[in-house]
Amino acid sequence: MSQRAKVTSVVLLLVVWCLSVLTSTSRAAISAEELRKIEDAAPSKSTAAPKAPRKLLVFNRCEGFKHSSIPYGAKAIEIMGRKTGAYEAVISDDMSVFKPENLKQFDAICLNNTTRLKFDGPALRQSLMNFVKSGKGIVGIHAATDNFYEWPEAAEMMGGLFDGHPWRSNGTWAVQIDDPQHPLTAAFKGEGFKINEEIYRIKAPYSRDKLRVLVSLDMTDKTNLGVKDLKLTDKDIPISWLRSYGKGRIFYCSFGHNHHIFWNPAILQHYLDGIQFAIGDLKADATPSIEKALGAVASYKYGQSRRPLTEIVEFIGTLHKSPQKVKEFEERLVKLLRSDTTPDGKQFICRQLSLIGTEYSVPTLEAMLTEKATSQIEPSDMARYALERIPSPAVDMALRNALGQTGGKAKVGIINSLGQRRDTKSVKVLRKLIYDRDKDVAGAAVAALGKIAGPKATKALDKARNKTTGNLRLAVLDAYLQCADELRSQGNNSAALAIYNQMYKRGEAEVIRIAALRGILIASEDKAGDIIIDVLKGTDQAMQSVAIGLLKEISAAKIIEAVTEEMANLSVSGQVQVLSALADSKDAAALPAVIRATKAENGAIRTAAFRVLGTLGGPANVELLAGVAASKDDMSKTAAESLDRLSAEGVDAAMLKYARKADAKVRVVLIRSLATRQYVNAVPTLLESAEDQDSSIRKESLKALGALAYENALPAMVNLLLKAQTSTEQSAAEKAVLATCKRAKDGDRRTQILLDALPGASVGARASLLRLLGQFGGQKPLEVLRAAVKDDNEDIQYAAIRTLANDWPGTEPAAMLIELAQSSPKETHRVLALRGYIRMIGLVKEISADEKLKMYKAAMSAASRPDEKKLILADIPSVKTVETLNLVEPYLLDEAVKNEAKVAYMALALALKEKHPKQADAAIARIEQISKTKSAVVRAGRETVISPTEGIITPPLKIIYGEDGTAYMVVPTKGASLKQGQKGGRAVFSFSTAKKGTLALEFHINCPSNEDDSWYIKLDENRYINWNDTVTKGWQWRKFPEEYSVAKGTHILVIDQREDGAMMGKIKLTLK
Amino acid sequence: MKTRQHITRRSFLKTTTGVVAGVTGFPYVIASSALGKSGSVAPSNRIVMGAIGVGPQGRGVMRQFLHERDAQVVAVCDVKRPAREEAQKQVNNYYGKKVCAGYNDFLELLARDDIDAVSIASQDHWHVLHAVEAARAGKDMYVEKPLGVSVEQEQVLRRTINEYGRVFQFGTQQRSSRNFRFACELVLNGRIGRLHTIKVGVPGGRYSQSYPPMPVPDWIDYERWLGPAPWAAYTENRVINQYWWHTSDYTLGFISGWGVHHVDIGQWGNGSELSGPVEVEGTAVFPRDGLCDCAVNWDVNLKYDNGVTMNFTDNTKNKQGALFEGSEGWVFVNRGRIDAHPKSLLAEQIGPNEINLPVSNHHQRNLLDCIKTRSKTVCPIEVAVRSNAICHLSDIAIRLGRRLRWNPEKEEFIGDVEANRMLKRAMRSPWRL
Repeated sequence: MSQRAKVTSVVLLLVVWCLSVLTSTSRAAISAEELRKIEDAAPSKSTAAPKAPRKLLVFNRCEGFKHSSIPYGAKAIEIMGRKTGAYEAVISDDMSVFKPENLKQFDAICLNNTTRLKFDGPALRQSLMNFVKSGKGIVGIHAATDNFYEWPEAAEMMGGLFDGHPWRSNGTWAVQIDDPQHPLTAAFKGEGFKINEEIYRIKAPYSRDKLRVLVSLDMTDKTNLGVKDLKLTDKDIPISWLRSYGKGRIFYCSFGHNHHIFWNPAILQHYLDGIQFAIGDLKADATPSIEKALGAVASYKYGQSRRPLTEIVEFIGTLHKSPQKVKEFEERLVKLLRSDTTPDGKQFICRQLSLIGTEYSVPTLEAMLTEKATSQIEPSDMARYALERIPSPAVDMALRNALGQTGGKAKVGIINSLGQRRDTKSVKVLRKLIYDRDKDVAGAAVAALGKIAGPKATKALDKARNKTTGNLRLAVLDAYLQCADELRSQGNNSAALAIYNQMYKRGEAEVIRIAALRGILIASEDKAGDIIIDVLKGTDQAMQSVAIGLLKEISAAKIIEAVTEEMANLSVSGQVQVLSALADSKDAAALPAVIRATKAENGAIRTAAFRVLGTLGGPANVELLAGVAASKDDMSKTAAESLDRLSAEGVDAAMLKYARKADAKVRVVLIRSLATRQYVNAVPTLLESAEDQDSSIRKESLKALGALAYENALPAMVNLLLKAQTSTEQSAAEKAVLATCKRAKDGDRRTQILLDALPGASVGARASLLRLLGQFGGQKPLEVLRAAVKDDNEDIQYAAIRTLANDWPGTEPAAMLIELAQSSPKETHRVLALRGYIRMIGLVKEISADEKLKMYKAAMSAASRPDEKKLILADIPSVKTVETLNLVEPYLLDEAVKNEAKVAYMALALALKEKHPKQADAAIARIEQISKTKSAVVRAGRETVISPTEGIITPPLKIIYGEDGTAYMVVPTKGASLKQGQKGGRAVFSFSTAKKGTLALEFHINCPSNEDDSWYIKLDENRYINWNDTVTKGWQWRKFPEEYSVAKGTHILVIDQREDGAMMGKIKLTLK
Repeated sequence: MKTRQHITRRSFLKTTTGVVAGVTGFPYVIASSALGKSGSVAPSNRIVMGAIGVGPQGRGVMRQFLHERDAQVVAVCDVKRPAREEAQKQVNNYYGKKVCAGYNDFLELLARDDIDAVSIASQDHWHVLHAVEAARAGKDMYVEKPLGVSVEQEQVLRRTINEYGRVFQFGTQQRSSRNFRFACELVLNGRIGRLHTIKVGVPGGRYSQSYPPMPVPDWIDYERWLGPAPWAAYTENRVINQYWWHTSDYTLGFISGWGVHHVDIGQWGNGSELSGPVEVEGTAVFPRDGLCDCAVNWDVNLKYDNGVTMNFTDNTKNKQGALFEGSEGWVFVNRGRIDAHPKSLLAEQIGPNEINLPVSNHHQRNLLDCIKTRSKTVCPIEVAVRSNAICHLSDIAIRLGRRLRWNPEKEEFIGDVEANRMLKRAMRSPWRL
């Protein structure tokens, strides 16, 4: 073909391709508006000047999913080329364009969201490979990784394959710049960003070891981690990368699903730079990320960014499934360890080798064991960090080899490692080192022998017992003990015993003898009992403690018997210890001795004995415990507690039985205990005893019924109420009935039982029944109570008003209550009714603010005492209207309630600030005027300090003056922590800002512990911040974590109690 | 009328290693007054104490001991001079005379024969070293949580404590609080039906910057501060401002620092306090740069062979505290409150024939009482190792990013060499266990 003919055919071909593109774009129809956006967003100048006229093939074919963004991508690429002159875009979706003769005119190919491309036959494949390998480029947009599943070589070339997109196109995701210094990320100015886009998960052949990753998903971001299909392995989600391939260059970026990507200026710039790289005009380093990070490790020093190290740690995490790759990477790390890497870098490498190192690493690490330090990091420490964890005999050999060539700390470390690894082969050397002149080496050798144990080490340590002194000898004994334990754990008790017995000898240190005795007792099995007895017969209290401590583990009846026989001869603390051990042994054989001990003279022994009785005792001990519990004995409380705890079979029944015949005091004790023990079967008996002639039994029975009875016992219990002889008994019966009523499941039946009892009841009983009816609501009870308010009897009137006001669950009686509050002739009735009315305003639902305010107005005008006014003022800020402000205003001057009024006023001002700024500001000004304070004005660039005394403080928060006279506020400590919104102390401050800006807060605080170091803090209408974990050393200034952008004008700062004991002094405000 | 019936989990407990403390029968502590004359304690009956690690937390724990009449603090140890001096001042002021010695070297404090017990609140990576040496010196001890920085360390401590017969209290003081105990009793006694899920939430970790190396100031013995940890260049933030609470050479971060508190409650209520899960997997966010390198957020599932799953997260997911969910209700408990569904559970009583957990209402007091009776505390070493192990398992699983199987009997991972390698950490010379 002549030159001319060739050109013509290309032109013809272009016409055909272009036509096919035109048809597809016309279908998708980019609007004029969108086109203008793309045009505007496209860079006007390319980063590099093209070295020659460049031609870029934009290929759009899809065999799989077809993205609607394809025409947008094509258009953007085309426009960028035209606008900057970086290249000329030629658009096609015809596979024949990949024929060598067609391809050769291009400098690079852009796979524009192509999917599942079919390169059938070796010719086309070869053509594409030759194209790239010869030094040309490929650019991939979004689905460009969704292609070469059946062509591994091409997948390798692209750098990865699509593996789902858990980050959906309608989400907004945080993106990080992995390589902020790289020329191809210049568009992002080094800053991560959030973007609404579909993000791909990429799978193998993706590897940071082959690619230079530029941008990826920020996997520390909560939203990114919150997606539904997240996998445990989703740690590295790359978005864009470059690589070299043969002599060619690849650039890929997974942005390009959503249309707006193509009018995002930074992303377009990123693409343009990538295209220029692929074409060969823009020089960019394609060293793979991992290689670069390894370079950073080689020169790493403490204080530098840890990012490259993190990248390597994360990369190693991805290799897990391929042992071969782990091995290869180990080799590279070892190579770096051999080079002139910094000590800090080498230490990092050793940490990695501690996890993935194998025999391969050992020689290099071995060499480090004997290396001289060039910094404060000892090479041998570093090497051991890796070696100790590597499971190979080569490590032990390396450590042994290094022993002879080292001294001092390095040698000590190596010995320690041999001990940790329990290397039996090192015993030969270590046993000599016990006598090393260097005390530290000797100590290390001894400790290591103890860890290694086994016959040879044991023998060496045995010898050393007589050849060492002082601390070293103690260390030898400790190691020797470990050898004995090892023998015991292998089942060789007799050999272990021989050692323990050697060390138990008198004259050895007490610590060692204690350990030895424990060993003896555990290894002696059936003979342990005799030994314990022997020890108890002796006089050594420390050894007695050990023997007693082990009693619970060896509880044969014979021993218990023998021990209890010896018990009386022991010291007081010894006896108490024995009793405690008997409780733990759970052996009832000890009971007789325990009962004996309850009669001891010493109080501590008796206390212990009575407690043990609660654990070991059974039905047979009920009489004793109940008798003592009912007596005036010192032990009565302890005995009562033990009675409650008795857990053997039949205890409850025995108690019930005994409760029928015992004398009155004992019966009271038993009834109380049955209630504590929740013995429901006692109810019929209790109903009887509630009518006993003894009043204390009647009272206790009623109490127990309240704790145990269910509604089927209710009629009988109401009957008891009716029959009650005294007012105290009546109120006891009422309490019991109330408790049982609350447990009742059938509310109607409950009400009926109470109503049925009314006719004929005495005045006292009627009052009780009315109070009970008032608890649960209902139409009939309401009628009864309404009538009772007008009853002739004053007690009945009072009971009815009181229960309606205090207990009634609904708001039905509200109108009646306000009427009573206004006009009842009796002050007590007026006060009760008013309080009830105020309570009900809070309960009313679905009511307009006006209506509610009207109710508060009525309450206020009926209130004659400060107490009720305070109640109203506390609740009234829930009606957030300007009118409420007016209602509160006069009370600012009411001496008796002014503080409550101020808080209410301030709270209202705060609530109204947004909708009624003028009135809110006026309200704040009014408070300042009344309080004769001027609220602080915060000016830009100057610190303003306010003191707690300038705020409105409500209890339990209070102002305290420190030694130097400075005021601070605190809630006195009870150890409580409040939930947000729970009623507690509050401090309210107002101030104004001279202009708009950012407000920073600092608090002078004193928080002695982590149980008194928090507040809920809120500025204006912002959310409450739970400011916690601010423990200080005395008084310190602490910055508040939140900063606020504020408008010019007044602001309100609210500080609510959280943990008491937290002290707060001055507050510093800075406007920026 | 019938006795109230509840589904009881006893049968389950019997078949597992279960709640050992729960079935011991001496729930009421012996008051100190029972052993000496009430009010004053003869000097010979006082428990003489030393405190190792006396920063703000260590001094807080020490304060609790100071207030107990039968304990007497005579020595403190810290490698930070200001903390040491502050603690000495605190003790001297309390007793009104100069009685408190200060040490930089903990071995000197432990060598004192007059000291019976120690309170240890050093950095996490020192806890076990201090505790093991204390046991060898024959001291009983209170050890601040978390326990150690590797499972292996903690196993060594458990062995040493038992070998020397020492009384040990772990600093998970929630066990000495009525609400936590009651919540666990409700669960153990089947009041929420069959337990299936435990949701644990605790505060998460923190981010930091990288800080340039600085000369070591004279108020700290930095060499000792680092101790067994790999050498690292000094920078102020490495040793102050609580950054070391989140730097992996010195801790596991809040996954154990805070985590062990509520995880321990989870174990208690699950009846698995002497055992552990059989499977663990989870996700987490780690800082990619800066000094702090422990998990900031995490979401870990631990499965037990009784079918229960513990979901352990930072408190951006689960509410701070422990939530037990069963087939018939739930119980939630944290330091501020206890809640349940149905609400009526909160008013229930645990009967004498049910599982009653040991009663302690003061964590330090409980140690002192147990020292006297030579009994197990409310959180003994066996339990401490198991609760802390949950934190280690979680940390290892999120660092490796894969599901791991755990053998609670052998205390090792099944079929994962790398995970098993992470159960131990080498120490810088000359330190060893």
